Amino acid sequence: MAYAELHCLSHYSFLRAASSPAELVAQAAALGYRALAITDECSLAGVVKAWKASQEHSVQVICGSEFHCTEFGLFVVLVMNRRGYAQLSSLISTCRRAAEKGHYQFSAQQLLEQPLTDCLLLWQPSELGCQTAAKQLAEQLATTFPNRHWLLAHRYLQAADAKSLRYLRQCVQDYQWPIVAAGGVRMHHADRLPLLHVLQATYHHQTVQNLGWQRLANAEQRLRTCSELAQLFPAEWLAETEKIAKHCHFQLQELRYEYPSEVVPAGFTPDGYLQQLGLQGLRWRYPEGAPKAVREQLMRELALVAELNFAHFFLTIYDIVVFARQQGILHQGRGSAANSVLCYCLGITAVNPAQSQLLFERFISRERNEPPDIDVDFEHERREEVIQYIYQKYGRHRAALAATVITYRLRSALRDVGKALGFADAQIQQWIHRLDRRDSEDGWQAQLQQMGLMNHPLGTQLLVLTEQILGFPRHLSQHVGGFVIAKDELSNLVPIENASMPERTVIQWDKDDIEALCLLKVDVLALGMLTAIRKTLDLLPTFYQQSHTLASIPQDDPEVYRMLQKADSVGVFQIESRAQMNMLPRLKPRCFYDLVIQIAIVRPGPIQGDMVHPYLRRRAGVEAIDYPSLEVADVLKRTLGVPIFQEQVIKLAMVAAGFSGGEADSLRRAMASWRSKGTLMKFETKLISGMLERGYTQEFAERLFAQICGFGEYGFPESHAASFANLAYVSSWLKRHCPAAFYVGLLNSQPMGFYSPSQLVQDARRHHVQVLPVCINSSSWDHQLVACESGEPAIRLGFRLIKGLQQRELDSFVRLRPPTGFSDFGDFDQRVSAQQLSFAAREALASANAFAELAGNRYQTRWNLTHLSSQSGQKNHQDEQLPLLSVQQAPANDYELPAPDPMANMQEDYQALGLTLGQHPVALLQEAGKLPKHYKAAELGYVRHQQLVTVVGLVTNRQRPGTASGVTFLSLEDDTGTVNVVLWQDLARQQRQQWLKSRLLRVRGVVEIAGEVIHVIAKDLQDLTAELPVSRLQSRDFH
Amino acid sequence: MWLYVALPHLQLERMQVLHPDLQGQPAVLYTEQQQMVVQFNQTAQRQGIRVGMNLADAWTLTENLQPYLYRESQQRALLQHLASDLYHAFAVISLDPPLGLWLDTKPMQKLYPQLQHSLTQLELQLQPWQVSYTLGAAKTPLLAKMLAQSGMQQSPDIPVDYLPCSPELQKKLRRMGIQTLGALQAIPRALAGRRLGHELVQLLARIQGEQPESLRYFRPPEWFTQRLPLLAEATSWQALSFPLKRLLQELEHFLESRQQQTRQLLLSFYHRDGSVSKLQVGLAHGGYQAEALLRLCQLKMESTQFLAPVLDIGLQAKQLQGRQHESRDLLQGPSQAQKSLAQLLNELQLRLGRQQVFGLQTAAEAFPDLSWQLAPAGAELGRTELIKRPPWLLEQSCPVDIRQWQLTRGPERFATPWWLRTYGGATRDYWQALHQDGRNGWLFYDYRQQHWYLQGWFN
Repeated sequence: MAYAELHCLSHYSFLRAASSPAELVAQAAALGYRALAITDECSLAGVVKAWKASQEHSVQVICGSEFHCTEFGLFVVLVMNRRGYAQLSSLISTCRRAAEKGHYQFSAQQLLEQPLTDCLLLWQPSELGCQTAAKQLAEQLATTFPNRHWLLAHRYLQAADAKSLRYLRQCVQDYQWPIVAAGGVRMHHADRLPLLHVLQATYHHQTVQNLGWQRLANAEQRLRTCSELAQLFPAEWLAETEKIAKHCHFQLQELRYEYPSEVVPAGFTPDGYLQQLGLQGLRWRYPEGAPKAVREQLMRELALVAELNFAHFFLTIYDIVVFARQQGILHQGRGSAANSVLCYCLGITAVNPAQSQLLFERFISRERNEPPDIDVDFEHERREEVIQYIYQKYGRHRAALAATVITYRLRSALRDVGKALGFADAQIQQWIHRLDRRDSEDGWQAQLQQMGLMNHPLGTQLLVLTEQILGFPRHLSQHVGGFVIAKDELSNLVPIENASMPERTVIQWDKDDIEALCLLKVDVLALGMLTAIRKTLDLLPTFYQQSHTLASIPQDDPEVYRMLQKADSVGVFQIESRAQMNMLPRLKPRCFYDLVIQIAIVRPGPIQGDMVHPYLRRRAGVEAIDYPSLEVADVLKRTLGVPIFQEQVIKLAMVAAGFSGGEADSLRRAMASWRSKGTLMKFETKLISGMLERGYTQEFAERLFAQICGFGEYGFPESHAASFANLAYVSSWLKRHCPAAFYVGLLNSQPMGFYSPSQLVQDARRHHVQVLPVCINSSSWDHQLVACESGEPAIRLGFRLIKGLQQRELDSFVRLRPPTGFSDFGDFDQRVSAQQLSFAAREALASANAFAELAGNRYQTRWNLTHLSSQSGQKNHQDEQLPLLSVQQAPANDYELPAPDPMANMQEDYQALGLTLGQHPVALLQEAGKLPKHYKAAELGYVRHQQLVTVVGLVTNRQRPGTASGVTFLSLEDDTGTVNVVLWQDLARQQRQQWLKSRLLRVRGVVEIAGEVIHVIAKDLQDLTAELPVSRLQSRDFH
Repeated sequence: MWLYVALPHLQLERMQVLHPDLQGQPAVLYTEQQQMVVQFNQTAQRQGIRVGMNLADAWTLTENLQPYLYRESQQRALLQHLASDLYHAFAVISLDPPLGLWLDTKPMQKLYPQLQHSLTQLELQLQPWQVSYTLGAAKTPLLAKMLAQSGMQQSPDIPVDYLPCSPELQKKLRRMGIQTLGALQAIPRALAGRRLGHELVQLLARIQGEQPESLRYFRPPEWFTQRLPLLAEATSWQALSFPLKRLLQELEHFLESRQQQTRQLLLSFYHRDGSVSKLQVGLAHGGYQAEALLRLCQLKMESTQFLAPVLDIGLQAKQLQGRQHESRDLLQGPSQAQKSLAQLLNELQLRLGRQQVFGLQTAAEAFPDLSWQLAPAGAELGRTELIKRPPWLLEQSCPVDIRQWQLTRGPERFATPWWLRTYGGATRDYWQALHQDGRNGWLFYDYRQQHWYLQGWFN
């Protein structure tokens, strides 16, 4: 018997079904179904995955969707052909766009009004609705869908079955409609029933036990065997499924992607135009003439692009990049695109591929036949302009963001499953908090068992169901910046929904789906450093008498590298973190390529794969560099024989183990997928045996495999590291040669980077840049560079630093401010009305001591500012009957408040600005005698290795990287710098309450000096937060 | 002189008294909404836990935290209970829920002429409670409270954080450098009023006693207590019934005038040697009529033994509540007092014991075994949406020989509850079937046991 399942939900009908499209397809094939329709509720989110699965099984996948209508029941629409697909996609888009995110609006009327000429309609009428209206609808639908309409019959083996079947037979008679059998499938196998119950419980915000009638009573809504179906339905109803399936012959690969034509000017072919642009770009990039190898590479690339028909991808991105350039928005391509000479010539990327040995095949290859994935970073503050350009140029009906499917991860899975099973909230939270996957090597299941999970009667179920639910989709969210652009209506290609941000729409497919179908996706990303660099560059002409663009910054400046070798890299892109700063004095970068390595090497991949130490030893000449063969030397020479980049690993697999391009690609994929541990093992034998065959030693082979496993998903591709190194060099150059401008650029681009404004300002002052306080007479919203007497530029802090101010208000205040400023407080008070500057703003300014030039201390100023008439926000003062004369303010200084002492000043500074230009809290406390004797950060350079010391500082950073076996790194800041403290696991546990929430910490420990890098290994901790009066000293904690 | 008693960890500490092993472990009470710690015990304090801390943070500090939900109603009840106890020693008490109360020592001056006496008495009363508290004594209630909460000795040192005003006002004061009450009071009142507002001026007036504080005073709940000496020693129940009847009539009068009824009677029998026997009579539904109450008491007394002859008899009724009126039809005339269902239920429960009398109720469940449940007696039956279910269910399904049956209608398929161990995840098909002797039954086939069972009867 040939059966086709025509009504089936996958887990993309969020919380209503318990199997993935792939599982459903595989099971349908195993049961010998002829076809399977995936009919998620008002959605086509699962069809691509189903289609991918169907490539490996012999079952046809039909696209469809289910719609609920309270009046008339359930409708299922199936697609016959490409046109029908566009119609269904359009219908879904209409329904989704008419409702808020996550919902849809559907009425039966739409089936009559929207064009659905190439679709089939299945209907399960509601027994409760008005029967006359239903009959009328039946007639109308029969006319609209001639020979394409059926009634839908299910059998769930429930008490209501008999009645429902009777009703349906009556409908067959009344409406004269044919009838077909269906499963109403919500899981691929009966053992998913418990999971489905959990999903139902989550949906209804209940526990499984209390679901009552809502709970599915049996597992009949699964893919049943043909013999079971034969027992449940009359043969004609089953045969009808095959008849219907025969009408549906649409296949997803028919979605031949047609590219937007605007990007190709009249009279050109896409390839021709691309070639012209490429050659133009070559002349632009190499004004003295391009090297022969580069020219040849460009022609090779153009030929490959033409062969694979990808010209439009490049042209579309080129168009966007030109827009950005015209608007003065800094941008840089990243990722594998940096391998391409073509991208370099088009101005999409900024790294000259001729400088390093980059693989174009990494970017596009014949075997992969995947479209290029070109990510471009833009200034984060101006990215929205680029996005609006895309919407404007192509229209909202043709451009939309790709979706990201938010799936269940361990914590959310435990929470939802635990709640559904009735575990106490506090209990689940306890387990989640104690669960630290990186704390030990045990898996989370073992950890939970150790915590006593099995004492609970439902403990096993919690483990099993959580495992099952991991990776299940919860809802669609919009991708960060991935746009899909279509030639015509995008909704003919894939349904469009409303995103949660207003004015944003998102498609129902994610990145993987888009790649699988070769649709054009453009990634428009945001990078804070680009904003900072542009702002810095803008200041150069005025204050440094020079002018630069990203590309014109002088390269290979030895002073810049000297600065980096001393780990003086606060604020520098990618190499400012604690881990990077520890590496810089050891690796001592001397040239651009060293920076590329520096960026790639301080990552979990190389660290876990134990590449770091061998590399450093070889670089220092301590270890001999040897290559087992010429091929290997070719690949690893530039990194001294140690594989550091992802491409090297892939290349090695090919030359040393004989992997073909395709196999190497699977290896790359296995490395890139985040749950890859299991998949990588498949390659072990092939890799090792391949290398043994080619004469490599067992030891070498095993070492390489271990390195591959360590790499996992964390290794950087070389091109990516190179793009980043470019920005790292540029920001270093700016820091070295135009420090004041550099800090202003950074400060005006916050929030970004690794350090807070407080730390940046301290770094600036340590570099002898003068920093001037916020001043009502001189500051603007942004921080500014100002010339001061010495001739050096100084930084005038801006109003944006003050908590509680509105930019619009301060901008207009600055416009109205007299050019010479105000002479005193009375002058200010008279000339600035309450509308121009609100009371709240004045208070905030006073607390930040912005009136220091005009009035005395900030306490007094706040006192003078405070009067009843300006307390507009307090409604309970309406009974105040003030005589007409005293409506105005009380006279200033009618009461003298004591001035704040230095400690109070510091406290007020932190509360108002987040930083202080006065004395550092640690210095103040020391003066007040509140601290034990201790070493300052700057003094540690003079201490012996292994000496016992005491250090005290503000905790500015807490970090527990997953690679470091439970070690915690703390950064303690005092008035001279920062101390790196290492906290081993045992001590961390024992003295947890001392350091976990501490803001001021005293550490007794042992100094470890390795070259220029100094650490304090903690032996004893004491929380001194109680000595601090401040509350805005936040630490940046990374776990 | 006003005394303020602040009890920051009242609820948790009382819990600890009832469950002593909680003391050795770090325990906290937290609010459900914000997941914030509001009360903690000493062990928790030693681990670094503080009020206002996030529960998640508390977990990171100690692995074997014992968190319990903070209950506002329980807190109020405890405070009331405490006040009732203190009422024995202090006449003027004002509650300040959730964490404190005031005592006015002035009216008690005859009894406790000096503050020290009041304090000693207070200590005495609080001692059995085993809770931690801080005291504040001052001329005005507000000042006393602020002293107690802040822990300061002198009022000028009290930080402005303890002023009962809006956080904005507090912040404003702090940002002007005015950190303490003393600094605030130093400002001339008129200036302060002009700058900082009426609210603050009034607050200062209340603190300094220039404006009276309006407090609500505590009144202990009313209840009925009466003690009746007997004319002659009673050695049997019959002898007691006449005086008891009188007491009950007084109670009925008391309840009638307040339109209340009682749910509990406490009978106290005073013996010659000074000991007291107590007998509690609980009523499932409240009662107030002397006749009915007497019958109930008699029932209870019959099953209790007398230890010694009784000299006095006492009656106390504490749990008083409003009455639900029974409508009386004027036309029908005085109907014969029929024994209502409620009455019957009360008597049954008393005679058989509360645990033995219960009712049945449907549960919102499709699976037959779970579709009914025991309910307190007198509860309503519930909704019945099931079709084709038998009215009679066996408590335990029993295996049958299918050959004696003829299946008529079905199947209705169920997956057994996988979350209950007793079922172990099987599938059952339920059928209506006709037994060979003509009765209609409800069978099911269990696929795991591979056997037929009988679940119920249709007739």
